Amino acid sequence: MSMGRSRGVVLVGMQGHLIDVESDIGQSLPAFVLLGLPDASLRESQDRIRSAARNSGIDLPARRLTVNLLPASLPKSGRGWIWRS
Amino acid sequence: MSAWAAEGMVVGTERVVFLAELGLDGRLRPVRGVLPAVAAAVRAGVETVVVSRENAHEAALVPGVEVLTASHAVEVAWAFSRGNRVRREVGDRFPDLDERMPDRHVGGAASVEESRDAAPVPEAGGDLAEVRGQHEARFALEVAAAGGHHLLLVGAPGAGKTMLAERLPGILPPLGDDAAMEVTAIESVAGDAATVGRLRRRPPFEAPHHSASTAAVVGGGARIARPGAVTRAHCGVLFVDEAPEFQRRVLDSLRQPVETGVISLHRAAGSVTYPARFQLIMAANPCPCGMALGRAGECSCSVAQRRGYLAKLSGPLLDRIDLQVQVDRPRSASMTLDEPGESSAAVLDRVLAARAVQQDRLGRWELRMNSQAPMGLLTGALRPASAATAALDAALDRGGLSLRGYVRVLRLAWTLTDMAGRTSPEAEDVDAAMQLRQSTEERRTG
Ligand SMILES: [Zn+2]
Repeated sequence: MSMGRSRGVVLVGMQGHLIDVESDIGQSLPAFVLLGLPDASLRESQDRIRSAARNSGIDLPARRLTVNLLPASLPKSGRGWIWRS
Repeated sequence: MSAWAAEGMVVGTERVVFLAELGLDGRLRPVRGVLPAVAAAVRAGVETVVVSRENAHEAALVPGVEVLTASHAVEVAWAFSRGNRVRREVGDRFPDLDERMPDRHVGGAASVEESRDAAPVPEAGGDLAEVRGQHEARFALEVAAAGGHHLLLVGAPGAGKTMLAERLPGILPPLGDDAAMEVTAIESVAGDAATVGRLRRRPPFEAPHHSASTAAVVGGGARIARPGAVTRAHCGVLFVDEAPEFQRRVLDSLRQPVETGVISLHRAAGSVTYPARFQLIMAANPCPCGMALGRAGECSCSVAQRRGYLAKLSGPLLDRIDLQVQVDRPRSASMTLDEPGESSAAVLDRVLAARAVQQDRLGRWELRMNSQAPMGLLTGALRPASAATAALDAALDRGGLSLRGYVRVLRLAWTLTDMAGRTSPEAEDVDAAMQLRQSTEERRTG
């Protein structure tokens, strides 16, 4: 099990809030779990992330990938690394 | 990126903010809102952001942050890959991650220097010199600019109401650093272009059509509440042309921003508040056919129609408008014979001088403009000498003027005083203010 981190921003009105993106690759069956109040548009991003990684030549492993967006209390929506609330 | 970090493919991403849209092919595409997002990241102590190449200039508008750009996720992966330290070159404003990657072709993107040197796009709006004649209306516009007063223009179609309104931003003080950042951030989120490349210094001008929906004017949307015209007009001018033709609901929705400077949009997921502090110009024909002023003989409306038309505007919104003027259709002779009017630059000089005087006087109450002065201040600490307000006091006693109307006259009188370079209103300032404000009111009720 290993953990990775990066950051994004969620905009609420014109106010930006820093978001920590934590990824965890587990040993169980291939799956993609997105936590932290994502909406439907953001949930679609699992395909995007796998596909983008494959097309970048750095495939993600066929294991369980859990991505957690913190703080979870802010609703997040969107397709990019800027999320709107 | 964070998933790659979990894999151990990349390192050092935990303090870096990534702001781009990831395509299925791994390309990084520009996103809206980069400017406010980077500003927020910097306030939170972030030192490095990664954006798509298209958003590079926008991100770099925020001082004090290292902006890395890339056009493909693989460039980012390479730059942050284990054992591959990203060199941080001094003086390299947009270190391009791609340049550090061997054997990878860069195509398409315009160079930073190229776009930085591009000629500025001329701002729309026109110069006041193009407005010939129209002395009263030009003066009213200058007063509105000097004191930050909301303005109502009443006049026949073709009288030049739109031409005047469009020229207000050109005689308003350029935006200061904070306002420029705020306005450009709004443009980044809600503007026509996907990205912005420079700070906006000219106050914005928004003119929603009278058929516009509430969502278009104040903002809204099914999933994400997008800002509307009132927010795009923040720190600038909202021009509501043919105001009586707007849906009542839309006019009512302007109340909150006019009274508080913000707009709250409520959705299932919660409410969002956007800034919306603008100078309002409303324009209206005098009656449904437009001919009732000046050419009353040509008006085909009934008395009831004439009465009812502008009455649509009455109430809380009109209460906030200090200045109401009639715009007469220029006679064709004066159109061609009048000398060109004074230029916007010359008028702006006087506006700036009047604004400086107001700031000196009002700063201790944390106000900047006469239009912001509340009743208590105008009838208290800033009360003019009683000799100056004799006619105004008499009108109030007669019942010819409401208390609110009284206060609006005092606000205008202060602006006229500041424009004339006097230190406190004299009778001529107060009387002139009464004229400016009452000219259309009397005609409407008479
Ligand atoms: Zn008419």
